[in-house]
Amino acid sequence: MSAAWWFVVRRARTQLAVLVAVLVVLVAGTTLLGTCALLLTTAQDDALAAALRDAEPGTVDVSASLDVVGGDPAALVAEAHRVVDTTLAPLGSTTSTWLRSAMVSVPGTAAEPVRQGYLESASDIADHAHLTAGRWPRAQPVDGTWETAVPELTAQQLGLRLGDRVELSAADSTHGSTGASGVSVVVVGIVTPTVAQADTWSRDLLDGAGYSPSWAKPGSAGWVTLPTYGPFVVDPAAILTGAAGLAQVSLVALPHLAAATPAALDAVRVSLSAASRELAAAAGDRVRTSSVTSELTRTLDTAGAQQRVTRSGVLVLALMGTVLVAAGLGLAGQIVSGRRRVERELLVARGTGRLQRVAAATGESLVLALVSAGIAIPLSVALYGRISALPLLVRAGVTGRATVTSALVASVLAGSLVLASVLVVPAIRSTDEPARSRSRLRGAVARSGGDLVLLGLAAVSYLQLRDHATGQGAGVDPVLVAAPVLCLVAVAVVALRVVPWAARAAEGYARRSRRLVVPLAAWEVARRPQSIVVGLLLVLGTAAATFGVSFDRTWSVSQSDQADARIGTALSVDLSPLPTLAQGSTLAAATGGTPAPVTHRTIGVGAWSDSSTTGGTGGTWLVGVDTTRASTLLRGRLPGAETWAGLTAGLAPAAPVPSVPIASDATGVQLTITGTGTGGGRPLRVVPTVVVQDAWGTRSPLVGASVSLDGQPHLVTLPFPPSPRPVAGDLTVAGVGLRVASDEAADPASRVLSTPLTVTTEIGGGSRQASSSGADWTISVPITSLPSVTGATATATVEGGVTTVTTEATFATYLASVSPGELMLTPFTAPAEVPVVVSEDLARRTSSGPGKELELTIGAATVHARVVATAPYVPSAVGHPAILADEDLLSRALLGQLEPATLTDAWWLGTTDVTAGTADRVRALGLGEPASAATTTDQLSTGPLRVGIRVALGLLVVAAVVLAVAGTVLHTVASLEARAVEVARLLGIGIARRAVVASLVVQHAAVTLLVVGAGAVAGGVAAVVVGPHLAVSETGQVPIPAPVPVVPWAVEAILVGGLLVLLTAAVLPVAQVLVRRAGAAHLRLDGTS
Amino acid sequence: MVSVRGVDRTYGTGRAAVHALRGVSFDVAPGEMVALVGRSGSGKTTLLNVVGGLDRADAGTVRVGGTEVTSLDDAGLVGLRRDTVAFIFQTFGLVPILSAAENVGIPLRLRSLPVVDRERRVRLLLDLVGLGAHADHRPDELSGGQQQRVAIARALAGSPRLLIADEPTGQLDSETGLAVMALIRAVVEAEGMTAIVSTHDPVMIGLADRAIRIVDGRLLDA
Repeated sequence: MSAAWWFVVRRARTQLAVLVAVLVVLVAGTTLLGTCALLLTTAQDDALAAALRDAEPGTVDVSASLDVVGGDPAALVAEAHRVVDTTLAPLGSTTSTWLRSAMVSVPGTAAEPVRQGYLESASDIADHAHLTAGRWPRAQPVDGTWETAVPELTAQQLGLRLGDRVELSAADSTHGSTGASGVSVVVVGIVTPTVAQADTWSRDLLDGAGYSPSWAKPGSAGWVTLPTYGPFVVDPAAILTGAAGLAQVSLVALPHLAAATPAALDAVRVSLSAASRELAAAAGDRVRTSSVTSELTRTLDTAGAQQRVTRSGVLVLALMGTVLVAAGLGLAGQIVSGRRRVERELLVARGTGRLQRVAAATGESLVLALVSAGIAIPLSVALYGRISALPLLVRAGVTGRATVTSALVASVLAGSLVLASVLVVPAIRSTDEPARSRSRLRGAVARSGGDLVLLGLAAVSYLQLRDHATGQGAGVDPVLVAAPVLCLVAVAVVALRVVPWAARAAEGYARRSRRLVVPLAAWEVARRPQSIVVGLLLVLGTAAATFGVSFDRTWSVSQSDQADARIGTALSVDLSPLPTLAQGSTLAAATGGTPAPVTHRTIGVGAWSDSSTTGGTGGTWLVGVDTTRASTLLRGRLPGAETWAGLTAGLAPAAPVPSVPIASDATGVQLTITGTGTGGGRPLRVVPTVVVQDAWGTRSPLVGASVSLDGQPHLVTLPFPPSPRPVAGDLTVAGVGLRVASDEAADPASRVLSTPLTVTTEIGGGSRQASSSGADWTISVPITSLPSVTGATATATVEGGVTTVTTEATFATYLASVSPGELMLTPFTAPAEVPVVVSEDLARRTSSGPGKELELTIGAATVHARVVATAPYVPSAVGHPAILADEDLLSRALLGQLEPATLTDAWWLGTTDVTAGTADRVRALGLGEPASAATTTDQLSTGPLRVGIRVALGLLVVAAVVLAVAGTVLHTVASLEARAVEVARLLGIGIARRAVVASLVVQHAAVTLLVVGAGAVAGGVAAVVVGPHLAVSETGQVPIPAPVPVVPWAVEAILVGGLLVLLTAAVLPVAQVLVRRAGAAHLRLDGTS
Repeated sequence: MVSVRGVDRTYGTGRAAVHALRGVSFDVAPGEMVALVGRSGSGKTTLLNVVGGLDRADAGTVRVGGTEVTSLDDAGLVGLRRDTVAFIFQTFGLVPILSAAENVGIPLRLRSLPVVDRERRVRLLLDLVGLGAHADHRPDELSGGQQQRVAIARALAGSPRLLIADEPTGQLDSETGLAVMALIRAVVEAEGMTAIVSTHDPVMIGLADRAIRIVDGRLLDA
């Protein structure tokens, strides 16, 4: 052993206590770093796995679709399977296969001589429909007849019962397939589609409806429509054997993501980008179109962005913790240096050079670093294990694998070495203390310069942070990481500089007092400059803790605000494509609330369209709600005192639609249509559409069969869609549409240019009293330069519960091919324009504002809108140009534009309707996946990819408190030991020990109050100024609405008060022990005053 | 004024025990200035600390002004040091963060003297020791002799009946030391107080009324 090592070892033995104290701080710091490393690596991997495991299938599944024109169906399906399986091979997958036949002819009737249908097989049909009668079809045909199950409405419309045989012959144009010869099926089951996953039935031609009165005939380019029925659910073999011909293949593969590794995900990401090309190549000319689509890549990108944001956040907090630990170690180093002052002076006097001292200090630091790392690694694993058992992480699914990883070892080792190097600094410094005043002046100047540089850096980084859009690139954002730490340290340093000025006030009190104890403490506070390092540690510790608490609240409130704005209401259910007529009643019964139908879709606006965005989330969003309920229905913070109720005042119509009630026990709407009009030598035909409104305000069209205008009354029944609940009750008729058609082809010689048209429609017969009078009814016709219907008038009478509307018009048959002969009768006058609120984004892009007009293209209709106000965003359409309107008025305007399609895309439940368990009850209804603001808030705040920030914040607060207390105790012990002689002098003068202890405690409490107060102010300032810029969205963008700083005063008061008590309480026993030890012997030790 | 009888004081136990005082007995008359003479480690400081109530004797009795110091509890000892005895230390014993005036004012603050009275007496005492112009100076701005004079002024502030000075000139040069010793002598005479001063400087011993010699914890002539 060299002399230097012998010296270091001997010194360590005699100074074991102080070295252990240094080691404790070092271990605490490196354990914090190690735990953060695990949060950044292991926890993030777990979080990604948990997030993908819990992801909605629609966001991760892979769909392959083929529009088949020929070839061997079985081989084609096998090829498609191979491509999908290969694409997802690194993960493994479960694939659902849906096959659809070409259109087949369904035996007609006198009323519907020509109608069509289709076969369908779905490998997971039992998961998406339930049998209401019979059983599922078997695989083998019996006597050439395949078994089938049909939807309830199909059975109802076709009058099918179990055991009925249906001959499905090849349609006259089997566009899309070849070799179809027809098939015979026997009904063995009646099914009702369920909507566990909203988009499942979108794979079906009729979206699971079971019936469409007018579906395009294949090959007619949409000009010819036929009543269409289906699916006839059969075994795949029935389609693959070619009896009906294969028209469509749809594969949906759900990847196995529970144990997905980053490498496997990357491989799948690469495969997906080429999957469409591979499928097209494999299918060749056997398909018209083919595609492989998936949201998986976008989901992974989003998850990656979330991980980057979370990593940045955790790094920010880890860096703050590191600064704290460095300050703690600086203090420890200062204490060690103080202890070794005499020894160092002796060594210097004996000729020891600086290099030798540094070498000895470096060796000692290295040993401490290695010992610290050896302890911190298992401690980090243990701490991470405890953290991952916290309910917060368990709920998020980040259950943690507490193991030693290379990242952990590297970060702890590096952290230990860097932090321990702080201990070398005193050895580098000169031991000379000449020209004290000069060095003080120089130090003050240097400190001021340093402060200015730090403030400058902080200001620049703050400006960078303020103007910074994060979430870009693949790595962690350096601005997001460095700026907050710089700002916090700068504010803390400035606050620390203010403390001595505040302490001077204590001198005045001391001078005026006649007593000793408190004035003595006051003098100490004012005149004995506290150690800069311990002051910095306490200011930083308090600042970090208060910043952590406030930022946690700011961040959480921002997530809640974002969730509110994103969902738009308390609970939302985006509907499946299934009929909506009974959904309001069903929701109301299940939740006890008042559901509101909502329009939520993309539309075109004027001449402007957003070409930069594509897909379902692009374009301008139209949100239509019942604005009379805006105060409880709409969520999302607005700036200042603005409210949604105030902003949307005046959007709703002045009065409700006059009711034309439907009998409460009806199973459908019955019309009696009598009319006259001829075209092509035959009576004109009219297809009626009744717009039914339920008690909740949603309007749905029911389309009836075509009726001949032959002067005879025709009873038309428009059945309600099948529903588990009776749909009638508070149903009313909100409009009747008539589509007039002539069959000129029947007798071209009899062609006429126009014909008078008279249609009388009788509605109702219900027992309830209509509030509508005949005078309410108006008629709307298409606004076009070449109208086929002119001179339209409507007269209505109400008698005995029956509303009779008589329409007279002239129908230009020669224009029928370019201008549909459509009429819409409504018991109200359609509004000429709809007042709307637009998002500032849309207002900016369209140069519109209050008073400006917009043209909204909704489906095939165009609605005139007038902007009455702008809002920072529209609830549920955050981040997009959007329009907020009243759904009732919007619907009326659309009916006036002859657009009867339902506007209801979702149901919303307001704040007063949602309680714990509401989402579960709604989910059980199978209407669609509910999204609640509360759940979204949880996902954004404590979701697997987000929870790391909360944990790191908690760690930071705890570490700050622990380091502040440890530093205080360390400093107090050292400073009181150094002042032992002084204490003995006071005792010698005649001051009681208790008074000395009291003076020390009061002094310490006063200093603590000042320093902790300064720290609290610094933390608060940092939280208010910097916090909102750190509270980025989950993908790292500026959140909408913009975050506001939130300071939880009560929690902060408890934290600061607790810290004060803790720090003061920690000093009391130390002071007592040291004062008890101070005695006469100390008076002989000191040679200086 | 002071009566010491059979005082023993031992530090440590067993083989490491150090017998600092062994059966020490002596008396000091009121108004007398006694020099306690001995080499370093002879027990001078221990004896002074026991007499002044800074330390406790293992055996024997100490009476100061009729009060049996050896039977006082902690509060009694604090009272003794506050009201009866004043110390002057070799290392001056000033509180470094306080000015000369503030140091002198400490004993007066212990008695909660009104501020005006306190400041008047502090001024008087500083003038007495010739430091009226240095009232606002802190110890590190004063020379060793000036610091010791501040310590003397502080010792006098409480009007003690017994002044105990432990090597008061130990850290001063001979000229300054002589001046300080002369000041103590003058103050003792002027205030009519009793003083025990430890020293091993023959010049200083000459200023005392008599000298007591201590060797290895025993008095040679009391």
